[in-house]
Amino acid sequence: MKNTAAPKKKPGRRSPVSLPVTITRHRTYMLPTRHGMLFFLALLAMLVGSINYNNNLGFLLVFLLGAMSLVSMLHTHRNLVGLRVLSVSAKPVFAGEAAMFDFQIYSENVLRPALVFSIEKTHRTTEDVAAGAVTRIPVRATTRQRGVFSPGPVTVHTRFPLGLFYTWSTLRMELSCVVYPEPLAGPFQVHESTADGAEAEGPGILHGADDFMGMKTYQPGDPIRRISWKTFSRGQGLFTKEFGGRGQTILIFDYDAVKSDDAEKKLSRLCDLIIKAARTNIEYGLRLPETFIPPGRGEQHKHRCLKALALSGKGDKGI
Amino acid sequence: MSEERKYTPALTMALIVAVFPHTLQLPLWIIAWCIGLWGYLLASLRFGWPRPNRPVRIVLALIGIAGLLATFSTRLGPEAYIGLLAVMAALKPFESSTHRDRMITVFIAYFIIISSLLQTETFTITLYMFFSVFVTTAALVRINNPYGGYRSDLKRAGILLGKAIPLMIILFLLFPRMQGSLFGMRQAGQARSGFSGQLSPGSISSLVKNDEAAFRAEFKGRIPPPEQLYWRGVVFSRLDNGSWHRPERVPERSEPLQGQNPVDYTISIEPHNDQWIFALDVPARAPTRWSTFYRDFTIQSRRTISRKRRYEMRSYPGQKPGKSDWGVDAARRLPKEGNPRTRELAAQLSKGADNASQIVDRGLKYLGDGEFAYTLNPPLLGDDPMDEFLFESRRGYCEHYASAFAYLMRAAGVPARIVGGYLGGERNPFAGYLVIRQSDAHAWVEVWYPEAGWNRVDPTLMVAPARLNQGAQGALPPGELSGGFAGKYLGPVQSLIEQVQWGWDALSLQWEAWFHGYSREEQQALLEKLGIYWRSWKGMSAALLFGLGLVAGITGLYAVLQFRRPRARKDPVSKYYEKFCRKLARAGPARPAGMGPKDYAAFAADRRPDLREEVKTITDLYIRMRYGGDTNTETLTHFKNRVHKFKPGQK
Repeated sequence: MKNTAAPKKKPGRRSPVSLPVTITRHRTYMLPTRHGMLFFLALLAMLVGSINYNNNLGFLLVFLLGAMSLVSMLHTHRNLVGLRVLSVSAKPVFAGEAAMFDFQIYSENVLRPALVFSIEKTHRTTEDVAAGAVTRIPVRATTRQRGVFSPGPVTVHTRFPLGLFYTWSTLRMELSCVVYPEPLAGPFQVHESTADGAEAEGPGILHGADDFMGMKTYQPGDPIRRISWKTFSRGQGLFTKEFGGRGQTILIFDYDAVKSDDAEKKLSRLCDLIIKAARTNIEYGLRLPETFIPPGRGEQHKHRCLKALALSGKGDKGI
Repeated sequence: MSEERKYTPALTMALIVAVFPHTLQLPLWIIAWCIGLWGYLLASLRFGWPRPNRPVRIVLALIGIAGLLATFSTRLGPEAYIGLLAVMAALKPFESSTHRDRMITVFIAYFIIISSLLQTETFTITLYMFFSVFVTTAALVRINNPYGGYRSDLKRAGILLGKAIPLMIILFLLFPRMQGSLFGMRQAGQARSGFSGQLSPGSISSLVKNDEAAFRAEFKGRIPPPEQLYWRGVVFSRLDNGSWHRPERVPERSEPLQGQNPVDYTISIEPHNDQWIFALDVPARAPTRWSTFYRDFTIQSRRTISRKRRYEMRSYPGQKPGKSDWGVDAARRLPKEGNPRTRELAAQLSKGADNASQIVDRGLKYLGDGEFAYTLNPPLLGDDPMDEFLFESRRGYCEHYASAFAYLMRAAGVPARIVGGYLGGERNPFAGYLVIRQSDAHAWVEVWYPEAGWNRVDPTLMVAPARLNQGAQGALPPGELSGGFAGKYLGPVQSLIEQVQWGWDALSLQWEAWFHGYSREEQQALLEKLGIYWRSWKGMSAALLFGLGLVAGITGLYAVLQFRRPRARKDPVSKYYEKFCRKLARAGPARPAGMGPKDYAAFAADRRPDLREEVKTITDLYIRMRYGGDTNTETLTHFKNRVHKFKPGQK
């Protein structure tokens, strides 16, 4: 009823909206719910009964309930229209896990009870949006494979207050969530490699190194793995790390060293190794066909590595 | 569990409120059934008792249906339907784990509400309907608002109801009414109240304790004196096996009765599930198209009066029915045998009498002299009831006197018949109409004189003259119709209650007169005032369109109003900060547009170095609350005090 002014485009054809977006009346649709239909059917029966018995009190009740459902339709509509979606963010997840998209929702002036947000039909988040405050609403979407996950449009609907009408708005927006590969469990062994970094054997995808002793200026012929990329990236020139003795280990996880025919499996293995390494205090780096991440430590480093795994071979998404 | 705890009490409440008006009609076991199941349900929510699972619920439902079959097997009327609704309503809230179940439960509650309206249409039930719809709607809001509280649900239901009422009124007034019904009226299976087609000892005295209104009469002019307040209903002239019957076939009287000093009044009759129409003796004509005026001067509705009706009447209360001689033969007939002593008395009365009226006078005198008593508790009479009554027990109620007197007169050769109806009525002190109650039921006698025709004679008055002025309660010996405890000890409270009752009664009559009277004719009159002439299909659709247009207009207005920005309620933090800014501006440095609070503090401090400290403190507090997420009420109070005490003074 409210959509007469809406453009004739189908909702699906609409270009994605950019945030923040306000749900206007042109973006909303309304239909009676199944229970609403049943209610109107019952109301019709009551009306026929009232006409038949010429019962004024029956008429009164039928018109009261009818009018109330009409007013409830306005309330249902009002409950949705004017809602603002400020931003969406999602923390990275591993493939197969559910991604939680956090919507920052704002409602000016009115409390909007029982709004239902969903990306997938099976996972709905019902929440009240308070007046004049930003409400955080997590909406779940299941991921399947690594990469950048962009689920379908998000739907906001409400049946409040009487459940007789259903109004909804489908927002096509740029949702994205980085999905790390699913970790593939395997042994976590450190094969001591020779100090010069010769190829490791067996499942030795790890390049062990001895204690870091210091830096020296790069000389041609130095193993490329010992180049201090950190200092290089700071623009301080090329240095080679010097290691000596045993103790502190630096691991470099190397894509090519993983023994598997399947590229995805390789990435999954690497993922597992990174997670395990991150639990220890070991410094680690990652080598992928297209990138090299110098050794490091900490949450941020871990995520940088995992993200590199997620995006490996999917085109440069700007790490 | 928590879901159930949230929804089930609300749903149960809605059902209780909806079923409540039916309690009087429901069999006792169904009431017990409802109370038991609901009580268990609510207690189980509180104490965590086990809830019946599906098989148990099915068994319970079967037990309920079996009980219904046992109770109503032979009469599948509205009572059985309501019984079924109540039995199911008691079970339904146990099954409310899904949204669908809960919605259905609410719809059942609405259905129960409408079925209570089909039963009674009083003002009270109308008001109750709004209450009931309110409660049910609040439950409906609740089940659609998982995080809401009771208060917000009730408020929302109230807003919906309030906004719906104007629309309801428009639809009610303008929705086209039809003449007659679509599929024919239901046959009322309800108990008759008031008179029946026969009169036997006990048939009127059983009504004395019934204080319900039989009908109400609003007079156009003054209320006639008590001796004229005989409300004519049924004429019994056939005596058969000790009880009096209405003749099987009474011809219709085609022309209205002519007379002098007419009295015009309106009667609002309560449903009695029979066809009697009561009117002041003697009525002039049938009041409406749906009723017939008979040659014994009674009126009957063509249809059972199963709901409130209103009709305009004209009567000639000072007048005798006159020289109609219909029914005289029937009024002479007596069984060949029986009651020998009564016949003997009749022979004595008629001996030497000049005319019939002398016999009647002698007969009345006999009752007046003979130590007769007016009582509700007469002894049972045997094979010759008239003899036993007139010569032995001499105790009885009006039907005994009327019956014995009519018999006596017939035996003495004077045609006589019994008229059943009501005598008197109580005036509503607020509105001036009369309420005639079932307890005012009365029977009197009509005798026929060859020269004057039918003549009213009330033998009861010979025994209990107070019956005329003070009603049955005043005429009966003290204690027989006991007012009981309340009457004795609650004097002032009782009179207050009575006042309230009269006021309510007057209000109800006003409402019901208008509300139930609102039919096709009234609608036409209303529409003609609006310039819509009904009689054609064109007019009808114009009216409907007009109504729908109004509804659409109001709905549109609601839609616009609800999108109007409510006046922004300033939070106290902004309010006090602005106050601070105003104070500071008055003292010198006004806040330039668009300047942030920190900059403004620096700006102000430059111009008023003396205020630097104070301005900084207040601004810091403001920033802490506004941007720093400090929601502590103490901070706010401190802030308020600081702003309050901030007195920059001119420089």
